[in-house]
Amino acid sequence: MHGHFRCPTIGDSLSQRPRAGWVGLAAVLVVLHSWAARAQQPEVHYFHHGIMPPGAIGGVQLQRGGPVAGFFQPVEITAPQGVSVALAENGLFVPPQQTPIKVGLLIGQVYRLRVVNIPFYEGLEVYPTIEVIDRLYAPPDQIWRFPIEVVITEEDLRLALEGKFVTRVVYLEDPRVALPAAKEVQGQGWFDVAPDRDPLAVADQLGRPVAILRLGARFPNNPLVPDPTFLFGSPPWVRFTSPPASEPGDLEARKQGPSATTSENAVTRAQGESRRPTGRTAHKGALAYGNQRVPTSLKPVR
Amino acid sequence: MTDHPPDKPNPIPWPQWWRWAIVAVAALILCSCRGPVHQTGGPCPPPGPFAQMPEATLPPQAHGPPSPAPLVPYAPAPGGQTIPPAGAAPWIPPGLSPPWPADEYLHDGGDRGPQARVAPDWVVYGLDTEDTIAHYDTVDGQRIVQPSNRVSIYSPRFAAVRQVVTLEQKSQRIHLSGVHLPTTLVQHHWGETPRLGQQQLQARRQIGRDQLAAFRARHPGEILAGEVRLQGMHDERVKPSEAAADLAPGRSEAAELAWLAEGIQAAVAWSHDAAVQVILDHQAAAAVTDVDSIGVVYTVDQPPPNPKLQIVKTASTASVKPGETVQFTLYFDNVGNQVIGNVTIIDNLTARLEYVPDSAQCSLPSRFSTQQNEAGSLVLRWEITDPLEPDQGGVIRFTCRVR
Repeated sequence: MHGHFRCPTIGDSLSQRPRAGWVGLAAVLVVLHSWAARAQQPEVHYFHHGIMPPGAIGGVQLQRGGPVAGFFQPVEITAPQGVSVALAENGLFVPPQQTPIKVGLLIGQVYRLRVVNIPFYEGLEVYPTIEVIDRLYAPPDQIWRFPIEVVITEEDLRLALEGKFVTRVVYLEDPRVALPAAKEVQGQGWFDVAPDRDPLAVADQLGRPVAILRLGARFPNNPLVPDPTFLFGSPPWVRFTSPPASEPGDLEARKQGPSATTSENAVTRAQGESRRPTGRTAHKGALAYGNQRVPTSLKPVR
Repeated sequence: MTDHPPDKPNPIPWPQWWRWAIVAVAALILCSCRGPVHQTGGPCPPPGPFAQMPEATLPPQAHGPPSPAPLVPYAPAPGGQTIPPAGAAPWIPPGLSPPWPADEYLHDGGDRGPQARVAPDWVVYGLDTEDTIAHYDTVDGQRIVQPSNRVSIYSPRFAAVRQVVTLEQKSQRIHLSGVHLPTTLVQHHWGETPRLGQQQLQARRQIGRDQLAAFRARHPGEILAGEVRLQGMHDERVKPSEAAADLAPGRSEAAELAWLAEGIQAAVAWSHDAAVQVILDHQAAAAVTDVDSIGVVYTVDQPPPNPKLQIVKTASTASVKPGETVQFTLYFDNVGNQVIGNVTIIDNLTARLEYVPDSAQCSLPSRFSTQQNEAGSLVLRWEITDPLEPDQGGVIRFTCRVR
């Protein structure tokens, strides 16, 4: 047995033990450094998916806390020329209005729209949904000037009428990775993703998803009968009105405050009239409330 | 039972100090992994006019029964102007500084990322998009890079990701590969008239059956396109946003000239005799007296050389929508005590800022040039022709269209 047991000498203990200690120390440092580096760059695990049912993503967003619950995020809905859009109110759709329309929508709620007067598809209607999943933090006096822009294209409507299901995830572009394209040329930039990819994840990689537009061929059984399930409970929304300016140069006059005429216009539009301002001058925005009109911001109406 | 006698040392080849070192290093590294800062225990600040509003107290603008309490961010003042209520600042998470969130703002100016530096061959390294810097040469041969402040403009822009799916039944032609046709002789009866018979065809087998449900998507090839829209800017007036009185150096000293003059007049009134004033090299000399001599020695204190260039950037608006223009102003001033030369100001525009051609103006003689950058925008460059004396400066203006 003694032949198999080698008693270390003093020289061996002085030379091997520190060496093994340093090697072990180096190995542990490498492992810990790799752990630390990995902890600083966590892998992205998406909790949401674009195929989740309407309302699921926004509901989870509300549970995350923050100033999102009860906030009416301004949303501007734009559709092709001639197309009218209506939202649901008390279980029924209000009279359709020409777009663009600007409304305040609650985050996490699902709003059913009624799209009529579709070009080349007279008599057909599409009932898309809008779900706002995040909000903007605009300066307090310009909340209505910078709404989330939800664009419904003519191709989207055609695809929906053909039985296809269109999902548009609207996201806020990261300005440092935004494309150098002018918005006023082609409108809102968008692109398609393959069916096997998650549009929500793609949008999250490019910016911050804020709203989801879903278009399909679903049709209510009877549009004249309230259907809470189809309308997702008709959640409340805020109507924004922009009374037209009478003269192109009265912007300064409108800055001085509301007048009786503009208040009347605001109330008229608040009651669902589909008249659209045609002036190209800047208009004073207002929130319709009874017979009062409260100015909010200046916005050029195109 | 152990193989080692108790009087022998610990057979583990790692000494005690090594274990403590491992514990210390592990604790240091693990503690360095910081997570997001969460402030607990304190109430969340008011997030905004509409936030944290239960459904029972919906705003009157919401459809339904009207409520007499208007819920608006701003209330109209008697004069008609909207006045933000006290404390109506945008909500910001605790621990962060404005502007927040950063993705809703356009930033320009400063020196983000690697620090910009200028090589001896005048090549600028580390110039990222959004950077605005100035570099100059000093009398003693140094080349100094001075970044400007950062300007943030609220300008969110939206895009969309579309996905089109279709549940489509896969069509398939099902046909017969053959028929089982038993052919037999038709018995012929001489006394009967000939008749025709039709044999029904019977399928031999079914070729196959496919499951339905396959997804098909469309992938149109639309891409974004850019447009260049020109707009000239040759307004010589000082814009209110430029705030020249607060930024240009020397203004505050000039404003104090009145007080200085008043003090001088008071001194003259109080002293009945005129005194000798000595100027050496354009500087007021101080008298050095000595009790051992009758003469007075005048001297000038030379401060240590301190070359310094100040560059300040401002924007004409704090918020802008895509398609609108914004005017940037750059103030550059020699706030040191030495003359500086080869003053060059560079602005690397971000992707969403499109320089409006022929809108660049400079108050001093300069050479202006542009160069494409990697973000699809331009790098603007002004080379000031003449050296800048102390307390001398200039102003640069240019206009950009927000994409």
